[in-house]
This record gives sequence, C-alpha cells and structure tokens, in this order.
Amino acid sequence: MMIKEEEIHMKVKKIITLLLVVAMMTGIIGCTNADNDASLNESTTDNAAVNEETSDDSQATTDEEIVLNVWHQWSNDTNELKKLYDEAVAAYEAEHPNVVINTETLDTEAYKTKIAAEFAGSASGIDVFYYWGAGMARKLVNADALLPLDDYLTDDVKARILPGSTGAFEYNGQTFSVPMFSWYMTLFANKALFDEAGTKIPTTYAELVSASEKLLALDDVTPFAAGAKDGWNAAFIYQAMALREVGGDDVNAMLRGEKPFTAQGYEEAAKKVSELYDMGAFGKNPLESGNDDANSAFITGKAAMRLMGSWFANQVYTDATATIDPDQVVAVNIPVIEGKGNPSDYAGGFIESFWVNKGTSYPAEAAEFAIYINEKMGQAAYETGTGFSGWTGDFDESGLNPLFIQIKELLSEGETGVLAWDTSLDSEPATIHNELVQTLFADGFDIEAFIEDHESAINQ
Amino acid sequence: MDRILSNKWYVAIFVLPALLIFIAFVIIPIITTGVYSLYDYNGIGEKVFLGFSNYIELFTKDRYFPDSVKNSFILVAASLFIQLPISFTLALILSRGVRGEKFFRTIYFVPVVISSMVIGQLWMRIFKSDYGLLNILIRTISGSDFEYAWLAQPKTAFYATVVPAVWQYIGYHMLIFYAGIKSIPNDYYEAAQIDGATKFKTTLKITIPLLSPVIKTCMIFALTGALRSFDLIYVMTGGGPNHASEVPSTLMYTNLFRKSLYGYGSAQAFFIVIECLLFSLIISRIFKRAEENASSL
Repeated sequence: MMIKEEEIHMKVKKIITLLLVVAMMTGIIGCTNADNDASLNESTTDNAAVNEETSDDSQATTDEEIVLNVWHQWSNDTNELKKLYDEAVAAYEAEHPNVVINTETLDTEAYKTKIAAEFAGSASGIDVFYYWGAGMARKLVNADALLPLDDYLTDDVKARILPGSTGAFEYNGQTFSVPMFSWYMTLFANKALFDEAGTKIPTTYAELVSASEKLLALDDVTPFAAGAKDGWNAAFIYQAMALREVGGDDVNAMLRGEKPFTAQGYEEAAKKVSELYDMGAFGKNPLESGNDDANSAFITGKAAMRLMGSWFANQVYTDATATIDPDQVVAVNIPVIEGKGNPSDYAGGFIESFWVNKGTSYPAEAAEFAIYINEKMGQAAYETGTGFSGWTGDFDESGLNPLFIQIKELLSEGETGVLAWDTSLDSEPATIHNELVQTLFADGFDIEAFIEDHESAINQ
Repeated sequence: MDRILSNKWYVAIFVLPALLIFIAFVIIPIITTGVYSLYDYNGIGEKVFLGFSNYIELFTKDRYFPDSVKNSFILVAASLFIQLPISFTLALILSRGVRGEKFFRTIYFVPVVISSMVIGQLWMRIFKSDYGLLNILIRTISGSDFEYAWLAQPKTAFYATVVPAVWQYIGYHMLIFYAGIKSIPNDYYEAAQIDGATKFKTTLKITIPLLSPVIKTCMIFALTGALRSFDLIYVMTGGGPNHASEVPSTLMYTNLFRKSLYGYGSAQAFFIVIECLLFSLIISRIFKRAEENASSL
C-alpha cells in the first residue's frame, strides 16, 4: 500500500516537472516568435481580406483596410517636425479612410542601425521609411530593396517638384524618391564680437585669416568654433575650403567617382585649414570639443564664427542656454578664395526623404503616401525654419526667423550644390574621410598621408 | 533531492532551459560571427566568400589593429597590476573591521553602479584643458598657466582613458575579495596568532592561498573586461585622436556600424572572443595548482 502511494507520488511529481518544462519551453519559443507571429497574422488576415474582396467584386477594394508601416527619425517629442508629421498623417488618414498609418520612430544613430538590420533581413515590417539619398541609399538600391517611384509620379506631382532637387534620389536612370527639404551651409558670425575686435565679417579666405588674428586678441573668445571632435564637423570646414579651391562641379565629379581625388586644390584646402589651426583660429585644442560644445560656444558668445548647416539658425533663437543677442548673428556664404572656384557654388542640397521598401504589400499606396509625406514635410520644414522645401507652393513665412530669411536669400543665388561628402560617398570612404580631416586639427599634420589615404579610399 | 539529481534525465531537463537560452544568445551569435568573418559582406545584399583573407588583412595590412591590440594589453596590465592590488588592499583593510566599514564599502562601490556614459563625461571634464580639474590642480601647485589637452593629444589620450577604466571597477573587485576574505573561518587566524605569526604573514600564508579561487575569478573578470573594453573609450575619445586610443572593440564598432564592413568587423569581433577565451584558459591553468594547494590546506 505504502509503495503504491509513493509510486503515485512520483508519477505526479514527474507530470508536474514535465508540465513545468513544457511551460518554460513554450515561454521561450513564444518569446522569440511573438513578433513573427504577429506580423504573419496581420499579413494573412490582410490577404484573406484581399481574396474576399476580389471574389466579391472589384469595387469593394476601397473598403479593404491597408496598414502602412512608416519609420522615421524624429523621435523627440519636442521636435516640431514630429508634431507636423503626425498632423500630416492624420490629414492623410482622414482623406483615405481605408489607410492606417502605423508610425515607428528611433533616434538618428539607433535608427540607422535599425534600418540596416531590418534590410539585412526581409524588412517585412517596413513599407515607407525615412532615409538619406546619394551614397547612403545606394547600398539599398544595389540590393534591389527600394521601389522606383517613376510609375507613380504624375505630371501634376512632377510640376510641383523644384527643378534640380532630385539628384540624390536618382540611380541608374530611375527615381527612387522625391525631395523633402534641403540644407545650406553658411558661416554664422557673431557681429558683436567682430565689432569688439574691430574687424569685419570675412567674405574671403584672406579676410578670414586677418579677422581670426584680431579676434584672438579678445579674452576667452575662440575665433572659429570647429567642433572637430566630431568628424563631420571637422569635415565641414575642410569641405568648404575644398569647394572654394576646386569648384563645385569638380568636387561633385570626384564624389561620383568620375574624377580622382588628386587635384592640387584638395591639398591647398587642407593646407589652409591646417594654417588656421596653427594660428589658433580654432582654439588651442579643437579636437577636445564636438558639435554640441561648439554650438554651445557660439550661442554663449565664446566663439565668433561657426560653419554649419541652415538648421543651426533655429538653435540661435530657440536654445534656452543661448546668451547672445540673435539679432547680432549674421549668416554669410563660405569665404571665397581669391581667383579660384565659383562664388555661386554652395555646400548643401536635398538628401533626406521618405522611401518605399520594394517588398511592401501595397506598392501603389505606399508610393502615394511617400510622395505625399515628402511634400508635406518639405513644407513643414520650411515653415518652421528647419530647411528649404523641394516643392513649389505658397508657404506661410510668418514663423521664419530673420537669420533663416538671410540664408534663404543666399540660397536663391546658389547654383551648384555639393552635398556633405559623407552622405555622397559610400560608408567606408566616408568614414575614412571624416577621420582624416580630424588630423588637420592637431599638431604634426602629414599632408602626404592625408592625400594618399584619401586617394586610396575614394579612388578605389 | 539526491534521488532526483542522481537521475541523469532530471538533470538534463533542469539544465535544458538555461542551456537553450545560452545556446540561442551566446553560442549561435558567436558561430554566426565566425561565419560572417569569412565573407565580404556589407550588411545588405550579397555575401562573397573570402576564406581567411579578412584575418590575413587584419594581421598584415590593417594599420591600426596591431596598436589597438597593444593598447588593450596595456589596459589588461593596468587592470591586473594596478586595479586588483588596490582592490585587494582595500578589501583587506575593510575586512579587518575598520570603523565605518559599511560606509566605505558603499562608497567604493558607487562608481560601479554609475553608468559608464556618466563616468566618461565626468572624467572628460576632469581632463579638459581649460577648466579641467586636473589642470587646475597642476596650475595651482606649479603656479604656471599649464594647459594640456589630455584627451586630445595622441601621447596621453589612451592613458587618460585607462585611469577611469581602472578606477571604476576597483569597488567591484574589492567587494568580491571582501566577501571571499569574510568567508575564511576565523580559526585559522587564531591558530596562526597563537603560533606567533604577524598580520603580514597571516595574509601571505592564509588569506591569499585560501582566496585563490576568488583571485582567479577576479583576474578573469578584470582580464576579459579589459580585452573587450569599449564604452569608456568610445565616450571619451572615440578611439581618437587619429586612432591613438583605439582598442579592438572600438575598431570593430567603426568597421561594423560606420563603414558597413560586416565581414571584416566580424573577424575583429571573433578575434576578441577567441582572445578572451584563450586568456581565461591560461589563467585557469595557472591557478589550477594553487587551488589544489589551497584545498589541501
């Protein structure tokens, strides 16, 4: 009797342990597959819906619910563009009752990694996404991951696009996206400090050197905040000099791989940046401070000049930590080098926009939405003073700050634009370029290695 | 309980869940990394099989990799010969029952709890050329207007990151040593005292031998931690200026996520894994004998 009881006990125990193990296993499996299951269910129900509709009659397809997964990188709630995006989406959904826009956001760096990881797989959870054209999207185009929009661009849409704004979105004769907004590089100068130093805001390189000399005499003021700890900040200064030395057309040809990185101008540009470093124009240790430090130095009156994209104009006005008088800030073109380049060349252009995943289940709807949101966000960026819309139309300019209007006037004279090199080049030469230009901001700069390494990275 | 554990099936079933998780999140990623390292792969699109040429490039052509490995060895040396002795000394002092034992134990452990990002930012301010604490101190002592950019000069940038790396985990190892020392029965010390041994001698002859498994663990933690260190260096210098403070993991990060060289970056990642395993094995071997001696004590 006793033995039997014990046997039963054992059996119960065995069953319980087995059940526990099964529960644990399903837990683990459930965890790993939860996402796949969800998306699978979604697509199967959608397919079922499609089948039903098509068998009923073709008219009914408008009632089919279409879910578009859209990804972008305006993740911060304080970002005005995020709010305007949400408004544009709400308006779109109101107009298209059968379309549901499901938006996901991440911070820039995390966003880039996420998109790369998604497209390393099937990217099934992405229909429309924010990305950068030219060199960055080329990888996706080569992998046949992007939907060309040519078939969806009606004449009406094409007529509204600003001429010459689609260069970064065209590959092999196909158009993969439409422009959103552009940026424009200017030299921001704090006039109050220039007055104090008794010099004028530079329009040429020679003036830049002499102004820097005078500004150095001021206490606790760096003439030119470089932010060179961040490679792209260092690169901006070098690229500006190279643009003036070599000229926009030739730089573009070099970035497209049509001309080698050998022109004398690239070397001269490097020497000029190095010369500015040697005279202390960037402060004693420019490699110590990055983009944020440099921006902060400028808006607190600790630096007299800053070479930045047009987006910086807003910060001068809205940053709570700013102590300078925004009306004293002047935006001018990159100083020219006497007898070289073309003053109408500029750095900037259209690079960001929304793209369509080729694997989307609803190419027509996704393409329509991508075109719509690019136009809307182009307008939104302009009206908030963030960038310049790639679309024609009547925009509300009441919210623009004076600095942004100055830049807008500079832009209207611009002819040949050169994008930031790290967005035009492939990721490997782009990274090497951003690293190499940092060597200009330290002692012991080696011009030969600088040119050689650029050549081997870019010309390959 | 004994009966359950003696049945191999039960043991297998109980180990299974943890084993599955371990395989899924450790073994499989390591194998995948190893496989990727044999390809030319940009993360999207086609993979081209290369064989071992990524590794050959790594050891023969890569301009920064040898120095990055050298830097990581410097960090290992600093961890083993500076960090651990300090931790051990602190643990010894605290375990002898100083006044405020609990207070100091907590204080020393605080840096371990703080995120590396915060520590990095903190030490960046300390090393800053103009308003950095270190330079202000030097200026006050020397009376000169000393202004040296510790983190922006290639000569000092890496060593400046070693300081917080060593400092941060002193408390961590101290706590492990402390727990180990506390678990040694008092009888040994009493017996030694009766025999007339000095405090120094008891430390040398009783504490250290009995602590050898703990010392081994700490050494493996310190060593592998130093070999794969990334966060502090990434925050403070990003591997710069001009690659002066690179370690293998910062190079790997640049290759993987900046240059999109997934194959080449994976080769570096795999190298770090192998390196860590190899050194852990060596330390285990060295300690095997010491542990046998300790257990016979």
